[in-house]
Amino acid sequence: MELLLFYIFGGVAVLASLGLVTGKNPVHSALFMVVVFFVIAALFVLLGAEFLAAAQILVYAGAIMVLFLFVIMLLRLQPEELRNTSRHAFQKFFGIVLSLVLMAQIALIVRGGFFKGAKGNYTPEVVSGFGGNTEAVAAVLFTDYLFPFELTSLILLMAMVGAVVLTKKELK
Amino acid sequence: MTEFIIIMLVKMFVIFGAVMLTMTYITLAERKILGYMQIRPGPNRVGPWGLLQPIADGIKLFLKEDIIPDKASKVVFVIAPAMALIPAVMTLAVIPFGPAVTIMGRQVDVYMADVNIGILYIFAVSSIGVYGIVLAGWSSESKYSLLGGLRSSAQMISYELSMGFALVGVIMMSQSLSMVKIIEAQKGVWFIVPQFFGFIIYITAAIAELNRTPFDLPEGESELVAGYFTEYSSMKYAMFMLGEYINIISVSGIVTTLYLGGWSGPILPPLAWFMIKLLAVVFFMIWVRATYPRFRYDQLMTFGWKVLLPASIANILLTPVFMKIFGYL
Amino acid sequence: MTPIQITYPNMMVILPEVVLSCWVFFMMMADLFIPKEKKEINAVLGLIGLAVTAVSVFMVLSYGDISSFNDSMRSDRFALFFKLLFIITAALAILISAKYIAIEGVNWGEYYSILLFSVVGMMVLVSATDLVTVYLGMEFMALSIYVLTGFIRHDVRSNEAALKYFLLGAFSSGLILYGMVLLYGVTGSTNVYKIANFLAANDNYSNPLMIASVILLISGFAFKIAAVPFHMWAPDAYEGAPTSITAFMSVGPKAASFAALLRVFLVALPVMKPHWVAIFWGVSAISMVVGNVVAVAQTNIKRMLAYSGIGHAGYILMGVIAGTRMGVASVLLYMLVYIFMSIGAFSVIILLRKTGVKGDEIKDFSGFARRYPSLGLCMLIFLISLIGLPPTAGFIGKLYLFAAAVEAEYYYLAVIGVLMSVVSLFYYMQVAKTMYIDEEIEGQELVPSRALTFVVYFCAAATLLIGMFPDGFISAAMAAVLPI
Repeated sequence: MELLLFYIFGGVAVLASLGLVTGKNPVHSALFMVVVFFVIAALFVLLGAEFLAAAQILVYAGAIMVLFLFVIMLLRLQPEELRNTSRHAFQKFFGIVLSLVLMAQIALIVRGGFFKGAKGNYTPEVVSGFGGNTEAVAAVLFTDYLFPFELTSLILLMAMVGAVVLTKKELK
Repeated sequence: MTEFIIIMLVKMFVIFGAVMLTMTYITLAERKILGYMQIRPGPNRVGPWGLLQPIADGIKLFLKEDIIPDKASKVVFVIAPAMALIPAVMTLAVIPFGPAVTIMGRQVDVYMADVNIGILYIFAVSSIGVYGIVLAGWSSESKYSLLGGLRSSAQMISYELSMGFALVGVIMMSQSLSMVKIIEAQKGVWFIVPQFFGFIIYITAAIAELNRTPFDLPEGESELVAGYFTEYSSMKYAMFMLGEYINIISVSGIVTTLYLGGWSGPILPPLAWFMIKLLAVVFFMIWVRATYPRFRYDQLMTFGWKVLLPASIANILLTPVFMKIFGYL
Repeated sequence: MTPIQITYPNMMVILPEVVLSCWVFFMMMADLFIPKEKKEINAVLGLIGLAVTAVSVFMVLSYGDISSFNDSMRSDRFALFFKLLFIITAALAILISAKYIAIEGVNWGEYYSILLFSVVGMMVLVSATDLVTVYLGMEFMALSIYVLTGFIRHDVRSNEAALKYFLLGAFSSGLILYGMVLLYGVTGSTNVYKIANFLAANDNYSNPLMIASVILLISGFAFKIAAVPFHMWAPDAYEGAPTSITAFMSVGPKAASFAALLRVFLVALPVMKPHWVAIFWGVSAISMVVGNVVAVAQTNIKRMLAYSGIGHAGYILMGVIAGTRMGVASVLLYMLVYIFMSIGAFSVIILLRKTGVKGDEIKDFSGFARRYPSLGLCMLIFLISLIGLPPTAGFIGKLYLFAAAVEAEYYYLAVIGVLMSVVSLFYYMQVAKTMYIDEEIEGQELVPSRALTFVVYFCAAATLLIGMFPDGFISAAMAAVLPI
């Protein structure tokens, strides 16, 4: 059952990603990206990480991609304007070849069993010992990763100030 | 396994059917109440007191010609109404209408699922709702639709933040994200009392999220014809309306659950209590609609970012203080 | 539900970062009350903040090696040495900015806040002993610099520079992140010490994942230090950015990235050394060649210094490749030296900037030294130091780098380095020739700014001082070497 669902979601993710990069219309590409975020959230659920799944949808699909769409719509990019990409034909070919090579490499690595590192501590039993996925995430976030967590907020503050400085219409 | 699937399917049909029925009559109630508040009778031709009006409306929308504008982006134009409706319906899955009841010797919960991230789920799903509106606006290739879509997405993003922050207070007090656990946490006193500010912020933001008056700029007919669904007709138009009214029910259900103690109450059965509270919230929203004029667009944005958001953050800061004083911690 | 047990972390480890961040918050608030005409007050506030931070660095110094936050941050002499370097760099950058950004018409208080935020990022980066904090520190630093690069909003060149820098920078962050992910996948940890222990205990020397990870990490870091073949952004970003920021980013982020590079490669991946040395050898050699040869053809002095910076990244990599105590010490020493000569040279360029005149073409320097002999002499000192001739600091720095390379038996690399220094003689002396021999030109009146001239003289003095009495600085660098 789980395996079947994994293949379904995985397959949808792959197809949607392909649609994303090959789509001519930026809005369609953005929509495919939403689909990708959704199936990734579904994969999180399969892994028992409900909190991450909800956060994934909330942050990426619900907020970031809406802003993306917003910008695309405001720019009113028409497919015709983007179609003038014949001079990138060589890059396109090169990109396809390289991504195939990369895929073969990853397949080889995964098949070859090179991941022989230590297994993580967070088995389902440990997570349920915390009282659930959300609690487990919180416990890690506020102990081991406290500093990165706080640092991220500083980075966001800086980025916000920077964005306002660079774009605000009139500065005193 | 099969038993589980059958129970789930039955529950799905029952809840969905009940919600659809409630919803159709909420449309009528809205028109009636608005009518009486404006000292006019409201719809009263179809059936006694206009009781068959929603059905007549439904049939009319079904039979109308379905127009897809020539320049529209066809696929997206067709998908958009569904994308507006689906998240609305999905939210219903976690709203606890009542506690477990015994039917044919089985314990059956009167809700689809009690996920342990209930609130987050509602949030995640409702944040998706904006896509339907944005895409409808974009794909119609009409300036009114586009403006309506843009306005609504900006509005929803702005108010979603305050909405989420308002709920943090509830989560703090109940120590859980699960809807059922939150109801259990309100055994003593409903959260509307200790979380009064949170309640005000939440319901304001929720009305804005629903694009209802006084925040109905995306469809402000005096400026934008009908906003994002200007170009829609027939069933696709009906789907937007369905989505909107189902959203009203689910928001009212959430308010009932989070602030009004959910199904709990004396004498009457839990389901009845839930319905009473839910309809009271719906009535409140209609009342607001009849009372307030529409905001101007910049007022709306200023209010969202400079009043509601700081207020909701202040609520988060004050909640632990309150909890310490009154011994919740 | 059991409440989370939060152990109180040792805040001394991040004391300088905390002090500076709080100061930046204060500055942001204070900026609201400072009228438009008096934005220079922000610069003064920034300098005070840096002074306070410097005091806190010395306070932490007495605690010795301490680490906290689940061993993700470490405060040792290596980190503190770099933190002091950043404080000096930022102080000099603020001094040369005050007048300059007023001329450019971007005299906003946020400039100083963001500049100091990038210093916080760099401080985190040099203290980081966990891949997560390394990455976050790097992003913090880089994001601030992107904003500062595009700070002249009305100038297309500045916008272009910021966009190019941002896009390529985001790409390189992706590469580093990918490398880190693979490293985590193999070792099961993000902590550099745990990674080192795991790799020492398990044979992963020819694990393709590890090799891929090393390659990706090197690509990302090579971008951050502007080494060939990931250098393309540097000339454009250097040219378009406000000159004061060019001066700052030619030193600060480069030093911070080198510090992180040293920590990641020498502490976490010593087992993989033959692999990464082979790649770094190539990167170093090609950086020296490309940087110095292409610099010859430049007519814009900011671009020229950008290419020369690429060459210098190549020189400094020699110390990393050597990987010995001597090698690391020579990197530290060179970073110290580089601050004064690079910021000094850029501040002379800023002196020529005034309303209506860009002053960043080499020909704008025609006859400069004849009209302003003392400032011309300072510029000459910086140029000589950049070439690496005695009696300047650049000579000492290069001497130690080459010595480290020779000591570790990388003779060819040292030979390439010496040869390319000879090439660099050509284009640096071109500037000197323009200053001393060419005819004086109109419109070369300088901007009267005491802070700016002070920085020029101070940097020149420091360059000479380190060049003539290097002992103290060398022993400081030796004392700050990572425990390898």
